[in-house]
Amino acid sequence: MGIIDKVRKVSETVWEIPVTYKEGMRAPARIIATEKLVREITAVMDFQSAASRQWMWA
Amino acid sequence: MDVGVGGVISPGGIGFDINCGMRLVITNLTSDDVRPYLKEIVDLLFQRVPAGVGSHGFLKISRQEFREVVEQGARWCVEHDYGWEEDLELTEESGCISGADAAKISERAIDRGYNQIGTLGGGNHYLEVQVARPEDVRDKELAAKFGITIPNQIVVMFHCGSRGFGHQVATDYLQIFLKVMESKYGIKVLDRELACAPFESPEGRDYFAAMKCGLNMSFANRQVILHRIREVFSEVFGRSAEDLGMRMIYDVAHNTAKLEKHTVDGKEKRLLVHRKGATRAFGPGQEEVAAPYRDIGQPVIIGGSMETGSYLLVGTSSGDQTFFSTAHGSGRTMSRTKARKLWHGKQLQRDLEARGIYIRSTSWAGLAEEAGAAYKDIDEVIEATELAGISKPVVRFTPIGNVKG
Repeated sequence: MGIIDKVRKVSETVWEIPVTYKEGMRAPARIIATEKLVREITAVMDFQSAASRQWMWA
Repeated sequence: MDVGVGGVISPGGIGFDINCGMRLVITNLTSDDVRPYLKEIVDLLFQRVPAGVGSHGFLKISRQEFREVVEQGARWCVEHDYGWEEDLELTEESGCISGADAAKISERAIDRGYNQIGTLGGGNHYLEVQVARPEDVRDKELAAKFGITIPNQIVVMFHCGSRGFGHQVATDYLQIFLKVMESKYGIKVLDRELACAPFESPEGRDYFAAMKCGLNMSFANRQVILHRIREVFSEVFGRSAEDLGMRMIYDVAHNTAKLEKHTVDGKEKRLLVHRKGATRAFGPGQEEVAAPYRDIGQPVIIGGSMETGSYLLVGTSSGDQTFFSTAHGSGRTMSRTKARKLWHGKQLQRDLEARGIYIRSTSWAGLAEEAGAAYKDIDEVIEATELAGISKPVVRFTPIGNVKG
């Protein structure tokens, strides 16, 4: 199961990751994106969880 | 973070490249004027604005002078003839955030930064010559307020930050926070990159003052780079930068933390807003917006990939839903390693040249990492921010020349 399955659609451009997603979260996280983008973003997050966060850093 | 009730400050929430940001400059030239000289311009920019990890700038200053720079920011540069007075008004925080204290900076950070002013750096940093095509002007009235009035007008956009200096500042304080976070303040985090300290603690206050030095170093860096860009265009066209209309549109950070007032649950609160990879986007009328733009909203500069395009937008009143923050770029869709496997830099350069985009880079591998397909679709990103009401597109710019970090 990927992150996308846990994301709640708030509106056409607002998506929410609930605090239950990961231990230690104190507030839900919101992503501003189209559906196409939120799928791309969560796929990257899945990869990062499995590998390393470093490569995304600006 | 609500600093009134124990809210924290976190280097990881700001980003290690403190005040990584964007600067946008217009000219009164068109693509027809520039095309015959494009290679000359890009080659000269490549020489005068050093790119690549560890690159050194032309500005030769002592460590003590560098301490002045990190406290005075772009103002130091303008006072030393590296820019125009009006540049400061068109820079976030007027190019010098108050409260920066060089006494809070390590010698290691000074050593890494004092010879790096005027450099792009590596990674996803770049300097681009771009065209505002008539069909890409999304709001003519707003575009005109920014000085974009000529069909196929040339602009220069660049993206860089505080180089090794900012990275060292963040690294130093991450180590300090890791030592005191749990033992002194009882804060536990699952990821060490989220290490933090209460804002109202000696460590938190020290980092805030040190982080502001990073902000100022980056404003100074982009100011000196602008000076070099003006020199190059002036040299190629045999006219002064003033005569070429090389005015700044704006300089905006996208790795920062700022103390701001926001309304939460109907109450006004003083918050420390961390923006890592996020651009502040205040709406029209807000006092923090630079005076020339206060009636239209804060300019927002969002860079896409070197193959696609970039945008100028403005903040909106409905941006309060994100504490007046919007996107900063298109964001990667794949790792740098994967991109290097899929593309070769030299071939990519040839392909782009055939499409009318002339690129110089210090590294073929680095170029491959920045292939357009390694990034999300910038137009889709902009559409999302517009539909969500957190920023409004004004002009889309198309790259024709690029110096790659």
